[in-house]
Amino acid sequence: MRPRKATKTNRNRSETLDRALGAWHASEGSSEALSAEARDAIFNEFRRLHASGGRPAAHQSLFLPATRWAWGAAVPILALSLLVGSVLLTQGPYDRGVLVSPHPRVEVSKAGENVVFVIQNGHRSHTVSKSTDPASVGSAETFTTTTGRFDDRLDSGTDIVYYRID
Amino acid sequence: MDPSKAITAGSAGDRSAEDDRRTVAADRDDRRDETLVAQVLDGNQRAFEALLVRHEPRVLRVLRLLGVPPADREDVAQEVFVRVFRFLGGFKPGNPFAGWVYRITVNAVHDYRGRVGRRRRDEAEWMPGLEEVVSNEGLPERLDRGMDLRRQLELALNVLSERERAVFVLRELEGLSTREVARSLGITGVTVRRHLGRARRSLQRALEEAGSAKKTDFR
Repeated sequence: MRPRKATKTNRNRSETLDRALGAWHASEGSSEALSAEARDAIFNEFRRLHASGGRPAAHQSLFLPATRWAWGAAVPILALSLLVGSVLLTQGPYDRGVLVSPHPRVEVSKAGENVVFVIQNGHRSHTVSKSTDPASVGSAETFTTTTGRFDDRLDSGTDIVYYRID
Repeated sequence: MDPSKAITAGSAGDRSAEDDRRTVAADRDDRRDETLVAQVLDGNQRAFEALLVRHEPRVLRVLRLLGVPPADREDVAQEVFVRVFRFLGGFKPGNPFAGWVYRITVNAVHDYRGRVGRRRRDEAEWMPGLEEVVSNEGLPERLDRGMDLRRQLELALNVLSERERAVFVLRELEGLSTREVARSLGITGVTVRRHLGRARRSLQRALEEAGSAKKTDFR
C-alpha cells in the first residue's frame, strides 16, 4: 500500500507544478518589445562600431590558401629533419644524445695524493685494472667507473704502476 | 476551460503533429536567421534591425524570467544585442541562431548579477525578479496573494539558484531540448537533467506551500 501512496503524492506534487507550467504557457502570449530609445541606442552603437571598423568578421578558417601552401611545404621539410635527426642520434657518433668520439681521449693528472683519469668518450662504463706487473695487469684488481672519471690513491715508493682501461 | 488542461489534453498523434509543425517552423526560422547573419556580416544594417526585431521579444522574456528587474532590463538587452553584433563572426552557420542568442543572454545576465551583487552586496535592494520580494524567506506567503498560477510560477523562480533557474527557464518555459540547453549554457546534458530535477522539486515545494497557506486562510 505504501508505494501506491507515495506515487500518488508524487503525482500530486508534479501536478501542482505542471498546472502552473500549463497556465504559464497558455497565458504567455505577450510580445515584449524594446522602447524606441533602447532601439536607437542599440542602432547608434551598431553604427558607431561599424564606422570605427568594429564590424564583426565572418568566421574564417585560419587555413587560408597561402597558409595552406606554407604548411604544406613545411611538412616534408620537418619530416626530413626528424628522419635525419633520428638516424644521427641512433647510428651516428652519438649515444643517447651524447657525442661519442671514435678516438676516446684519456687525460691523467695528479691531484694531491691522487691520480685522476678522465675518459672522454661518452660516459660509457669502463673497467680499470691496476698492477705493478705489465704482464698481469689484465687480471689484476679492477674497478668500474660509469662517470668517465676514475681516482686512485698514489702509492709511495719507486714501483711503476700500470693501468689498463677497457 | 482550464488552460493547463488545454496544454495537457490531446492525443499522442496531435502532439506529434504539433511537434512536426514546430520543427519545420524552427528550421525555417534558422534559415532566415542565417541569411540575415550573412547580410549583417556584409555590413547591412537593415539585416541587423531585422535580427533584432525577430529576437527582442525572446531576449526580453528571458531577461524577465531570469530575474532582471524592469528598470535594468533594457540596459541588459542592449548589452545582449551589442554582444550579438560584436561576436556575430563567431556564430557558426548550421547551429540554431536562437540558441546562440540564449547563450549570450544568459551570460549577460550572469555578468549583470555579478555587477549588481558587487555594488549592492550589503543592501537588500537587489531582488532577482519581482520588486515586492525582498528575500526568499516567506515566499509561500507572498505567493498566496490571489495571484494567478502564471504569476505564482514566475515569482517562485526566485527560490532557485542562478544555474537551476537558467536551466528551468530554457527547458520548461522556452521549450529547448536538453541538448540545446546544454549547448546554450555550456554544460553537459547530465548536469542539465540534475539541475532541472532539483529546480522542479524546489518549485513544487514552493507552490505547494503557497497552496496550503491559501487553504488555511480560507478556513
